[in-house]
Amino acid sequence: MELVGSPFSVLFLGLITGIAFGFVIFKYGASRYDNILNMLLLRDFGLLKFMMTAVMVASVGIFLMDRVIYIAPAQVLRLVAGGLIFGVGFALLGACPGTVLVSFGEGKKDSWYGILGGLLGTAVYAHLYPVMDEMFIGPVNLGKMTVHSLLGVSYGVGVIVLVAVFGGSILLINKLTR
Amino acid sequence: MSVKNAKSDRHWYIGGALLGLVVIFSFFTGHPVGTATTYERITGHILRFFSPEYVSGTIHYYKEAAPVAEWQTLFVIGMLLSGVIGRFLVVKHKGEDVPEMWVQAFGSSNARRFAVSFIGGFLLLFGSRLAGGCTSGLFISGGSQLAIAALIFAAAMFASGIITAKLLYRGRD
Repeated sequence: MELVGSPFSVLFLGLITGIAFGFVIFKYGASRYDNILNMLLLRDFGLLKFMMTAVMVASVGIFLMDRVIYIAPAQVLRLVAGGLIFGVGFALLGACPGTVLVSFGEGKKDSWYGILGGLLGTAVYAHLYPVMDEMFIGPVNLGKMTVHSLLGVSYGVGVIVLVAVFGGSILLINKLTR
Repeated sequence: MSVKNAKSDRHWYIGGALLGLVVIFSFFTGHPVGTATTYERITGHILRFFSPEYVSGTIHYYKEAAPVAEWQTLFVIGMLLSGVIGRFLVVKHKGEDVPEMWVQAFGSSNARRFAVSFIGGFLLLFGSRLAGGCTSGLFISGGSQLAIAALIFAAAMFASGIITAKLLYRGRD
């Protein structure tokens, strides 16, 4: 059947990566409603530090392996409009598209409804895609812009800048919340 | 308070570093983490059951998210399984259907929580598709490759997320 599009080895790799990614999220409480809402209510920034640490570590690893795979183009309108809509859903559901899967696996019933709503959301988006493309995706495209291309520095310096900015933000948050 | 904060923070840094290692592994094997596209693939499969003509005639299913199983489909199934593993092997009890924090603010009505979850899920995935990714694909994978798109998306999602959460819990804490 056409259900299986990729070789078994690739599908297996996806499965074990998913289990590892989801388990870290589960184990450290990144899929918990209260952790997500307390971050958005600006009461506890633990989860933000978790995400920023992940990006800092991964950015160094990807640089050292020289393994950049895909830079999403900076299509500003779609990123802002999509991000704003995403944020409302993020606060209402108290999960993102990945963490709601972990909650579903844990058997939390509200995540069923979140996933069902999500499936409908993709159906409506696919239906409206031609309009969305014209309004949000086409117009303002800054291309495959990165931290280093924006600053006009080398990739390595870009990584140092990202780590410095994220690390500095964490230190600042720690100072302000103490 | 500060002592307690410092202690609980350490666990977030360790967890974040571990998550970063999983992301590095995903890049090493050539498949950046992400989930949002798979929702659309599943929707494509469901709709195809009812009307194959509609799915093949709707440009987006084929242009960007053809309904075929690949790495990310199994990644999503793996994330689901991690929750099952966590529930049965780690915490060994069923998770709460409605979060405790929600119950304290909005009462114990399941229907209200489920309705808000449904709307939230709808906006979350509609927004993901419009933006071209989610927290894992756009922010974590994108940010790890230093994409400016990741930072624009994160700024927008936190702006509206913070406003929505503040309005939702206004006068309830």
